[in-house]
Amino acid sequence: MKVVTVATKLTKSEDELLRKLAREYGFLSKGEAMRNAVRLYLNLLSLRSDDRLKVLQLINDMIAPSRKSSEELMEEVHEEEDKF
Amino acid sequence: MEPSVLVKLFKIEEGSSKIIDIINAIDTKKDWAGVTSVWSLLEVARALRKDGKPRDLIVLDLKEMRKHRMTFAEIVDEILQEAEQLVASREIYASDALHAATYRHLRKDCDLDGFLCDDKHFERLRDLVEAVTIEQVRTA
Repeated sequence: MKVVTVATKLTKSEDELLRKLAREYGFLSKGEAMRNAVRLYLNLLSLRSDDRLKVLQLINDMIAPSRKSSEELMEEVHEEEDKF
Repeated sequence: MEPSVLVKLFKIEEGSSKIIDIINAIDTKKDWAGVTSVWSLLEVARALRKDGKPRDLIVLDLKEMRKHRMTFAEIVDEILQEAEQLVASREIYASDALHAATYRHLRKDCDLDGFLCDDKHFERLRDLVEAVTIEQVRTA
């Protein structure tokens, strides 16, 4: 299998989180954890569009759950815009 | 499409499964089309930010929105002028006026059947546009 090397820059806190999670999940190295993360991300983006939207909806809800509805959020945005 | 229905794409709440079905219908059915103002991208981004979503997730959500067969209509002078008239003559938010004016401007050219919005906007804008709520849309 032909491979290429891709270099990337991480912030210090991202690097620390990567190191921590790689250890917790038993990855052999940060590089292996990164490769898995990239593959997972590419798999998400390759899903059929409605499935991708469903997964993205779930990710949004898991990462930042909120009690405010879309209606309420948009009202707040309108009010902000009107202040300008 | 009014942006609050687009925010539902990235939240789990009433109507959020249906909006995915609607976007899927727009993507897959030849006689379906979706149009929203390019301004919606900023409003959705701001709503997601207010909802506490991190930057990278908002960027991904916006990229996702752009991937579908949806048109992001430019804000041309005619739309701005009509929106100005609406703001000057009614108790209406500037962005509601912009979205209503965008719909009215493109209704004929894009053969639009209705202005998709949430219940609040339905009440507020129904005398200006052919307002339709998510529940009223049949995708099957």
